[in-house]
Amino acid sequence: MTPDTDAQEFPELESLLMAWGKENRLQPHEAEGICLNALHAGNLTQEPLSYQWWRDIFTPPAPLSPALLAPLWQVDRFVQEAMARAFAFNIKQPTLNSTFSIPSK
Amino acid sequence: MSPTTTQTFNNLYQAHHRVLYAYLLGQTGDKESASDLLQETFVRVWKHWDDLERIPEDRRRFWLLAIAKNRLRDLQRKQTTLWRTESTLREQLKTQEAAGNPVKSAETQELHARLTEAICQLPENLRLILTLSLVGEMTSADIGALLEMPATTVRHKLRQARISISQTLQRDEI
Repeated sequence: MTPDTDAQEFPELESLLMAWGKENRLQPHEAEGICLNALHAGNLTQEPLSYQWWRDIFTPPAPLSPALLAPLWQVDRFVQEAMARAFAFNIKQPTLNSTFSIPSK
Repeated sequence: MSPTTTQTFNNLYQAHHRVLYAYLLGQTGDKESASDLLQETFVRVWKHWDDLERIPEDRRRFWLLAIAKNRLRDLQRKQTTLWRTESTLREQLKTQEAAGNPVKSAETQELHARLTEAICQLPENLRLILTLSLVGEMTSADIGALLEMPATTVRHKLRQARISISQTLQRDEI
């Protein structure tokens, strides 16, 4: 929101700029993934999992294959929590069941 | 870390991530770099939690910004080209629009691509302020407080940015 700018001077441009700003904001699922990863890294005193991984997890339609998840599934409860939150964003996961067991290949 | 600390961390993140992300996007011009830097910033926060607790709440944004600037400096040492000529943002916008909104016309997509290019061409200080305004959803007063300049200067620069973008778009139409 830019209520104190000279929007009236460039009315057509302003709507374009507002749309541009909206499209370039972090989406809620992206922001959530970044926060969780920072928490994860901080708690374990480890380097964070790559942002690419979080993006794969949180960006619908996420290609969450068992091959992608299996090595990461056992990391710790933060990964499981991340998955739970990812599910909360209504990402369809036909390859996983709701109990968060390690998926079979 | 206790649940209380985790909750405080979450609250801190919710309060400041949008502005920090906008700042980093304005500086890098790249959503992925900005996201990575935002994440690194908060990893650093987590690791220096004791420092944070000594900082008054109204100064915490500046402390976070200082960390983000350091992360940015590290990145700049690694890669010399920020705001690439073939803008990553432009490509991302095309991808987003193709994937997320197929009904958008080719004309609209082209217009957005040209707008992104025009923003990329802005001088760094104008681009940063515009990004903080549009992506960070900040008022001129907030931007002024963050960048330590008067709100009137911010408004002037926002106007300059709009004039410049408008001229670039008109020039491209000819």
